[in-house]
Amino acid sequence: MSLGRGLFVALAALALTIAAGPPNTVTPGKFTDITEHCGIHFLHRASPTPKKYLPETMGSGVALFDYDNDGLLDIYLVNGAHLDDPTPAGTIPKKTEPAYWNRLYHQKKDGTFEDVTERAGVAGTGYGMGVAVGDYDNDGYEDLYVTQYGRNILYHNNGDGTFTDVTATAGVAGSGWSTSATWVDYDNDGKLDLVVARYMVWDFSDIWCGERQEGHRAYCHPDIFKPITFLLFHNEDGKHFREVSKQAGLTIPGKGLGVAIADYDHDGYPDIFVANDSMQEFLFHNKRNGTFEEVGLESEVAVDGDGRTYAGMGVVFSDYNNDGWPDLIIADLGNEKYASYTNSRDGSFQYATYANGLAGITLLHSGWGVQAIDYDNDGWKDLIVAQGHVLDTIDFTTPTLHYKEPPLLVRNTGQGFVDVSKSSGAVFSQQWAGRGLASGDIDNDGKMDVVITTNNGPAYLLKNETSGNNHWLMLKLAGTKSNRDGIGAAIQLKTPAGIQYATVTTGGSYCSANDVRVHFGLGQETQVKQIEIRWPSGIVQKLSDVHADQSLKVTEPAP
Amino acid sequence: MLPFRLFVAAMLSVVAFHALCQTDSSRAERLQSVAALIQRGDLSGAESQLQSLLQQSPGDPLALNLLGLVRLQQRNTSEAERLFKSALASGHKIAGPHINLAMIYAPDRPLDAIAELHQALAIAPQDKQAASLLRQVARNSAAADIERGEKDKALEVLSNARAVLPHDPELLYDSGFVAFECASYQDAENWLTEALKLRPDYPEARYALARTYLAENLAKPAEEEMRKYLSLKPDDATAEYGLGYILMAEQRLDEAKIAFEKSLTLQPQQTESVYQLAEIASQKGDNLTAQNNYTKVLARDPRHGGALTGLGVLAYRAGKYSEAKADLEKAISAAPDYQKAHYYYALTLSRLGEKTEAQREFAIAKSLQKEHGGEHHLLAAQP
Repeated sequence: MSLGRGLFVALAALALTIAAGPPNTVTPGKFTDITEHCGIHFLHRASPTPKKYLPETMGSGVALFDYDNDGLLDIYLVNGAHLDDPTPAGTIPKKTEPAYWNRLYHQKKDGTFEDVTERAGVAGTGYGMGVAVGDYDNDGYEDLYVTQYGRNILYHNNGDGTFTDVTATAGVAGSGWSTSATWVDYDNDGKLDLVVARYMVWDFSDIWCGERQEGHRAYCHPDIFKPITFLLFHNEDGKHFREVSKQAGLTIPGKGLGVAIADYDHDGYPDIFVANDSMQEFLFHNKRNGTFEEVGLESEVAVDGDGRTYAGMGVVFSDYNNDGWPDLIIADLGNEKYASYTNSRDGSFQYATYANGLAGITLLHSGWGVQAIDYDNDGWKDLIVAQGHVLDTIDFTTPTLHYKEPPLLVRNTGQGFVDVSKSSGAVFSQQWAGRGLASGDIDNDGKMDVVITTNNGPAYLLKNETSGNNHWLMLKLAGTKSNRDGIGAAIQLKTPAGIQYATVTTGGSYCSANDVRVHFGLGQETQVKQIEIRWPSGIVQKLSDVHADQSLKVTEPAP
Repeated sequence: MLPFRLFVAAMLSVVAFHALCQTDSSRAERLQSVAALIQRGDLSGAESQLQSLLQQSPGDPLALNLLGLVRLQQRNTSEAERLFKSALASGHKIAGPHINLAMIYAPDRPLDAIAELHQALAIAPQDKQAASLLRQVARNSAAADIERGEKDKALEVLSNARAVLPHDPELLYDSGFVAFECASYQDAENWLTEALKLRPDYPEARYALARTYLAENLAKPAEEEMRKYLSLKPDDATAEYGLGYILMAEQRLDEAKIAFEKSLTLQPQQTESVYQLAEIASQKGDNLTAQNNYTKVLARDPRHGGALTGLGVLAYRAGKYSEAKADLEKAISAAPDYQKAHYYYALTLSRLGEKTEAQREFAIAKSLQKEHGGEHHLLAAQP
């Protein structure tokens, strides 16, 4: 019998990859879930309803920061709010009971945590999404900016273990659906400004997506909603902010979920990358005059290497190939492959997902929070990703993808990436609807730990217990002319093994804020030959022969 | 449509069977001799004897059935149909007239033909020829429907046939094949799996199931099926290409490369395998190999959109923007819907300072993703 020959519509995302790293040189990590042991009992409440309101599946973020300057990282976890079924369009949800509170966990000297939310006054008010950490008033205490659906909150750290909601005075409430935010001194005036990604124009209208049958209703694809502009708040005087998105040229609407900063062209001014969901990604180049130009297309970071858009969620803007220039990694949905771009050092990037092996590793994963941490202190930044598909119906519509997935640990061999998850501890076999992820050295042992949040589930504190005798260095910057946190400072570190480069930031990942300290793995080097810090003020500071295995505070010198 | 000669042979055999079973011996002998006359083409002799038999017994269903065959040979289809129906109106449970009616209906009314054959098989369940005819009617009809683009119609015919012969691997295979063409992948998977349960060494069904799994984004089972197919047909270059294609979908490039190379050993004219090898080389940064392979592809197919794009991308990466522009313009002309070509054309224009045009091309690239949901590829529907 001769039936007709037809077009074969194959996998949408057929692509190529190269396993660049030597496949047999695998150094596993060891991450252990110490959540319960440490006294953290956080439960994210998404308030899922049969209406499948989109915020229900977007999860929330986490911050790792030392709010009381006791030298130990504390944890702030963002929570949802009660949703009615139905929730009328236009509703701004409220936290109706303590179960919906955001939680601040203070780390005690013994490494356990205590819930100090009520005393600190940081419970939040609405349906929380993200958190940004920065000392916006340069008083030496880290402040908190919490994004929510509807209205955001700025909590000023009073320095006595309490915070004050100064949103109204500061003028940073914003509107719409805010997601990731980060602090950045974009004009290098010594005061941290605030950039806030917003997701889309969305209210609680009852829109049915997916098949019209029981159990098949799905969360709607972002394509059916309009994009929205981002918010840029200029810090006027350490107390008041001015919303300057329009003046600064951030007028192009997007569907922002992740935001990260780095000076990708080494011009001394921080640039902003915004991970957009299912549309082109944005790279806002800082024009050094208080304005930005969106250059995603010409910089080759707007889409993947085949010209396709993807569902950008979490983002890392960090030099993962140790060439001294910030690269980009963006987590997205299954069948899209996490996007990675190496900096071409000429203002553009090259899509590297095939070449560095991430294509094969991430093809069937969906990632949100992502961080470049050198988990084994070998001098190469590795990747850890909170994973899980956005659709809780995906398992039966696309059996190769999963709503709940284990986190992913990917080792950077220096020549490419290798998936070491399966050999890096039981946590990498757990099925979680991972969302937020923050990294930091929680126990000050020189190994980077992480906290992962899950949608409508617990948060997990994962302690890095990777073995080995590699050395490390942690730098805590203290700006004087520059902003107090030194956010935006570019650090170049030289050892006989090579150069490493990092930007001081608490941003990146998804809806989360990371340890402001900068961590470097040093491999077998016990001393750093030279450290060069380019402060946002323009001051260049050099340190020589710095001993390894210490957390070093570096104060910005006088001009 | 079945060849007419085959029609007659099949009908005579059925007639003979029923003649022997359902009437007295002398009458059966006479009917058999009539059948032999028809087979020899002596239609007037047959008619004469049949008229004599019908005079003695006017409602004799077997005689009516044979006379219907004579009319059919005389191309008097309507009279033949009337006679077959008369034979059935006698109330005797005989399969022959149903089968003969099915023959008349097969070309234009396959569903009616299948219904007649259904009745024939209800009367004579072991009648292999009836079953064979039903299979052929359904498959030929479905094939014709597919040729006309009427896939739903093809599925309906096959569905009716499967209702009569639920355990027929060929009907299940065809159903799976057509379901795939209709993008009903779950149905395709079910039917093809069923066909393979009945006939595990059915290579076409293995191949079709591999395609189905791939379309469902189930690369692992797709690979498994394609490997099983290749164990049955190890020298099939198309299937080796298919295996390479699946392995690429799994991002297992080194293994994909081996499969493409093997497909070229088996069939050096496998242009698509050369193209895929070029793509692999390009992604590995082996630009020279990539360029050589793209060039080979273009020597065979000067308008290969993928290869033209590949050359354009290589030129762009090398900073040869004018060259890239020329290649990509050719690529877009050859494959106007290829998103990657538009994207790199946009990048090239941007590097050449043609910002407005770059934005326009970028918008085109984006719109192509909306329309097609990603990159589509060709793979032979059958090995």
